[in-house]
Amino acid sequence: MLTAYPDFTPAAWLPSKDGLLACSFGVRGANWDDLALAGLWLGLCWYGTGLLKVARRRRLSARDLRHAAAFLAGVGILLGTITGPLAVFSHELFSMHMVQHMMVIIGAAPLIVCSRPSRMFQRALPPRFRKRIRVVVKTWRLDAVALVLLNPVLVWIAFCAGFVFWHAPGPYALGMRHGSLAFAERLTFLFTSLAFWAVVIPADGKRHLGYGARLLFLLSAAVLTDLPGALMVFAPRPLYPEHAAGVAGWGLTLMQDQEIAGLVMWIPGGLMYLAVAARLFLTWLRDAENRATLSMARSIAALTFFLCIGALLTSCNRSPAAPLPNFNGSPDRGAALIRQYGCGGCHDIPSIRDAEGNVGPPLSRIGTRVYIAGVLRNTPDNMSLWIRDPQQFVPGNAMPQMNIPEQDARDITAYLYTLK
Amino acid sequence: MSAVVGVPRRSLPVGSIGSHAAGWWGIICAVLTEGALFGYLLFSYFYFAIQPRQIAFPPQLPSLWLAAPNTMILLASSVAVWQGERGARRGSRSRQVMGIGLGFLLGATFLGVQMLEWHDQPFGLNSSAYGSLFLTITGFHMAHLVLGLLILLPLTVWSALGYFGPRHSAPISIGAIYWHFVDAVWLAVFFTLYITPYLGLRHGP
Repeated sequence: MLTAYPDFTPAAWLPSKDGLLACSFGVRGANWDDLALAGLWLGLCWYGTGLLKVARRRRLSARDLRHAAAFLAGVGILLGTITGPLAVFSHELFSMHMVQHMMVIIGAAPLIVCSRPSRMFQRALPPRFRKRIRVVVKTWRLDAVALVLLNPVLVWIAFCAGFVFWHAPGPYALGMRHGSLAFAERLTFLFTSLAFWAVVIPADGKRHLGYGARLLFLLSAAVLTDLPGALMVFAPRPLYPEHAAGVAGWGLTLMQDQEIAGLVMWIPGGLMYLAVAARLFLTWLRDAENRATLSMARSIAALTFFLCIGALLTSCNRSPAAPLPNFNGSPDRGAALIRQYGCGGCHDIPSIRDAEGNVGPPLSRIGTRVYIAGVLRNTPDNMSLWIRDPQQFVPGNAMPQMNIPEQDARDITAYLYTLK
Repeated sequence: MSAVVGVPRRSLPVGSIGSHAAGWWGIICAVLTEGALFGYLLFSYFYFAIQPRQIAFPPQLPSLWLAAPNTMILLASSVAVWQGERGARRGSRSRQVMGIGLGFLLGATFLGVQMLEWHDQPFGLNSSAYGSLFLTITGFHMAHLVLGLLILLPLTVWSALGYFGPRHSAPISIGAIYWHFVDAVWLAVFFTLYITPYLGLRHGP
């Protein structure tokens, strides 16, 4: 029934020399899987060298072992998508092809990101070489380049665009026909999803997005990359006719295969994104809880301190409405001016008749308030500036410019500062 | 675990002051809801595009002659507004006014070219399903674009009058966020209506 049987011999898991040569010289019809296999084995050996070096110095922590397991699992999944049964079936069945894609995007990539492989990759190199790399990174400002490349907006666009592009019928058909394009397709998926998960699951101590922004980043991409799957499920016609011969061998129709493929993209993908989002939410809540408990403890201590200080101060200084030092203005004249300018039309001002306005803030205890209009530090000079020209500080605010002369403003200020 | 959790009360600031002002939250929420609206609109186009042949697509592929340069114009306007916002943060009023003003002019140019594009199309709003989808989607985008222009114009004038400066640049940032959103939506609309037909998402045989 099958058109080709998967090759389970060990040789299938290793790149062939002829295949590699064909790829590197750009021979037409070359098998690009060999190049992918070679890349993966190189990565594994490199990582293994680092791991061995760290182990020899007995600096291997439990965390390193966990990371190594994650890395091995991630690269193992990648190997499984390139060779073995899945690789063979994915040429025949569109649904198997989608399984392959999802294994890279929501399987291998997050595992590799979680394994933080850069430490082992660095350890594998001799110290002198590492130093030289550090110099090159510094002189070419490669860290700044990496920061730009890992910019969340760019990563989001690249991830979604790459995903949507390679699943459109045209580019997909091209990828099926040309090995080099299939290779480019896999590279796009691998690198965009590595960057994507690196934004979602940042390393400790690195600068990263806040929880809310990360959730938005993850869930918006999840919705967008689920849409092609939904379209495949609902499409009333086959969109990928390249698989006509392959599906016939399996006793399926193109439509059935496409519906399965759509579900593969839609459901496991959606569940994975949702699970990671749920975990992010939980960490967010735990963080908020920790911070709240801490700040509550701090504020109780501060409150006790200020209560003691306050009790001390009030016992020795009880003179109300002391005149302001270094500020000339008459509170009595100020009270008369407040009535004259009609400040009470908008403000509720203690001890001024009919000053019961509810347009602006009430001015009770204005003399001890910290900010004027939320923007200016409350000092007598700032207050008289504000009274003369409030629009200068907060354009468009509701307090009108009344053309109040400077001395009048100072007298009004002097009165307002008696309100404590 | 029966720890009592006290959440510190931080009230939202009054008026558009500071970088995360009430208006900033407002525009973020507006961007999210409007983004969802365009998500639905574009999905309805894709749902239409996967249908069998009965509902006719126009025989020729969409022309990029006007749309591609127009996209560049809109991108340039976003860059201009971004520069204007930077000028506002650094207290350079001329850069601020020029950036936002240039953004407005480029946006208005985009609108004009878009009108031309509408005029050139052989279909109308109710001549075919394709026509109504095309005009509804680009029309919704155009409505948002006009709103963005109505935001940029007063921002330009007020910037010239010196209402905003480094200490008070929240209104500029809020307007800029909306303008970048209009730009991003256009990229999605452009990709959907103009590029995907070239990627094989058309009515099949």
